[in-house]
Amino acid sequence: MTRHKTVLTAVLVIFLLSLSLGASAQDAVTIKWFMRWDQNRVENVAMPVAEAFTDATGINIEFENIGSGSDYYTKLQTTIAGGTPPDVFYPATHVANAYASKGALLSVNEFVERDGIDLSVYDPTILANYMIDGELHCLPIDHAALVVYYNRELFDAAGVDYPVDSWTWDDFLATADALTLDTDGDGVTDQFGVDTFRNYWPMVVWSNTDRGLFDDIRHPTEFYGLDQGVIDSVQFVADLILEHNVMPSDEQRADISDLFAAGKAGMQVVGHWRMQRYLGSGFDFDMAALPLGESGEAVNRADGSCFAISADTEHPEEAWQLVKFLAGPGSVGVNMLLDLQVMTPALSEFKSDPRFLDPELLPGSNKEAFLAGAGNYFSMYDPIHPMYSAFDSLWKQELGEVWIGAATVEDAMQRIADEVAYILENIEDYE
Amino acid sequence: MAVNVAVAMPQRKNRLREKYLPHLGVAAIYAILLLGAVLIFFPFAWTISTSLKTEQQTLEYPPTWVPDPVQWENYPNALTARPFGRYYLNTTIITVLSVIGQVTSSAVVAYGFARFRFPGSGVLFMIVLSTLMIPFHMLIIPRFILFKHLGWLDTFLPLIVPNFFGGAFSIFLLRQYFLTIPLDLDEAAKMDGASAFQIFMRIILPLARPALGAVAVFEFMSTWNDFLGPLIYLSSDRNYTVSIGLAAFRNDYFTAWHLYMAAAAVAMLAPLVVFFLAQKYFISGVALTGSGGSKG
Repeated sequence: MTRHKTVLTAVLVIFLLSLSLGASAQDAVTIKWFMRWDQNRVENVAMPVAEAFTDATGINIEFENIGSGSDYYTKLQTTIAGGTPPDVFYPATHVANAYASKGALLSVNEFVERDGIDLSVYDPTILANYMIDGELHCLPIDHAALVVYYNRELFDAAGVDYPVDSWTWDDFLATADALTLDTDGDGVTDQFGVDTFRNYWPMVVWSNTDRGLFDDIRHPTEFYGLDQGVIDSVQFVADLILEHNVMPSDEQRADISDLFAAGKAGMQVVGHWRMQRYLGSGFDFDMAALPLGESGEAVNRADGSCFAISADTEHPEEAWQLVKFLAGPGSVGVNMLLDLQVMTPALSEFKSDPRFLDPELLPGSNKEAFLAGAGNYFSMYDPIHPMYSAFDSLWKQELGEVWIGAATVEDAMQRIADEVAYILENIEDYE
Repeated sequence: MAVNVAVAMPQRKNRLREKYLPHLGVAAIYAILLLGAVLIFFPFAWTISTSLKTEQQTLEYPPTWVPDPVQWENYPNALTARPFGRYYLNTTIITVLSVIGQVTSSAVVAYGFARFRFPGSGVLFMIVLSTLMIPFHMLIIPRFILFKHLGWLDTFLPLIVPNFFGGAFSIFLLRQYFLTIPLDLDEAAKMDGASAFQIFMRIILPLARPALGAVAVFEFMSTWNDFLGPLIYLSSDRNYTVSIGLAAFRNDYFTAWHLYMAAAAVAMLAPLVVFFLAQKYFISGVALTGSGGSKG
């Protein structure tokens, strides 16, 4: 009898256990999280964040990472078109908008409202980048704020003063000029004032005109390319290469990926993402805010990346939990990213965090430079509209001629303006 | 004496010309080949040189050729940064099966086109050839959807199975080669009672070894180096191939050139070995594709 009872109890226990195991196996949701980070962020942020998220919520994560942006978007686009998109992914501003306008992103409005998230914790211009017709399509994590990195050692050697706040483009040119050296006297420049930043020419336009390239970043009807302020700004960048020779041409750069990191350029205009590399280069450097232009207003970039949820996800609730975990107020993801010194956060609470402003890795540095221009943020991808890719290849082609001295700025901008006029007339073809 | 000398000189000259002129030609050819070899060797040497530098040395301007100090540890560092052993194994499985599939299926189809006349065979062959004109990028999404419905995503199947349905280029190459094999051989075999399949196995295939080798080598190279296919169809790390693993050293903002090149040098080994072993076929393949049209 007793034996029978024991066996019966054991069978019952096993049965109940298997039931509960089966139930929990059914409950455990796995969501796909697709990223385009470098190995450093994958290992030091993505992996621990995924683990912490699973611990906190019981939701499993299937993580995939493709480091190169173009490969990432090829795959993302294929999976979206093929109907098997990842649940959570990481588009840049203009891509997020292109996808949102095609209905590929899930609006997060309802979740934001339900969870009572106060959106004022994000910089309003940055947040507006991801808002279409009142619908928020993703949560921003960073913005690609630009600064002028400068090599203190090269400044000291050339006897040049460090940049100060509210310096102007004229000061910038004078500084670059003093840093441009032909050390062995063979007539070939050995050290440049600044590494090339010609593709950031719109930033010079913002600082001179205090406006973007189009009248409306969402619904462009007019292109400002022929305004004197725009032409002068492009001319300034071209002159750095052709007239003053303080910025290297393609030929002079010889395909070196970063002359500043190589110690062959005194300054570099770039964002936070290069910081790790400069930290590893062994020289003493600091950051200065972007120089002021004619408008006298500090400016900076608003565009960056966000965490978005696929419109086709089978697990919207779980995907939202992850997005909130990654980029919501008090974000665990941003918390981990801050220590790596790889980004300028979109959340205001982290902008004033000592780990961002006064990091152990860079004692006494001017990290505030990344925050300059608040209130005057512009998108480098202007307009945020599906016609951007046509505009992008257009200016790259026409200004490419300017940078090598094969076309005048006026002629190039005229050709761009003519083409843009045609695009704007037929803008519905791009929507 | 003077006459003798006058006669002897031109003779000597002629003899010299006869003796050295052909060699001069050969020397010129070797000089050109050497120049070509140096040009082709340049990127390879660059890969090796970069793979032995420190990260800082890869940024040096002007660039240097000889790494100092030599960073042998880049190799173990690169190969352990990602599970390259696994990637190598995956790539080998995909490549070997793809080569087998491509060669066998294309040979069967090419045999059909080369030896059997049936209504519409010309049109059918044109249709096969016309698939060469379709850019691969146009097929990405339709194929992805197809494989999704088959439940093959994140498996090796989308990369292997299509090869078992022949490739237009391989079919074309093999058909042209089969056409050069005299029909008399088929007929003789037929008289001895061989079936069409036996003729294919016993006569055509053994004689077409150079063409089959060329197809195998082409397929090997393209599958081994394929990036887009694995990128799109594979999504878990355990299934990645070498080309996807290499991409881990590269992102929009930074490329760890020293590690990238170390891993790339190792990834190059297999194609190099295959190339040296199958050089004969590879070159005959180039010759075949160059002259194939006129043989048809």
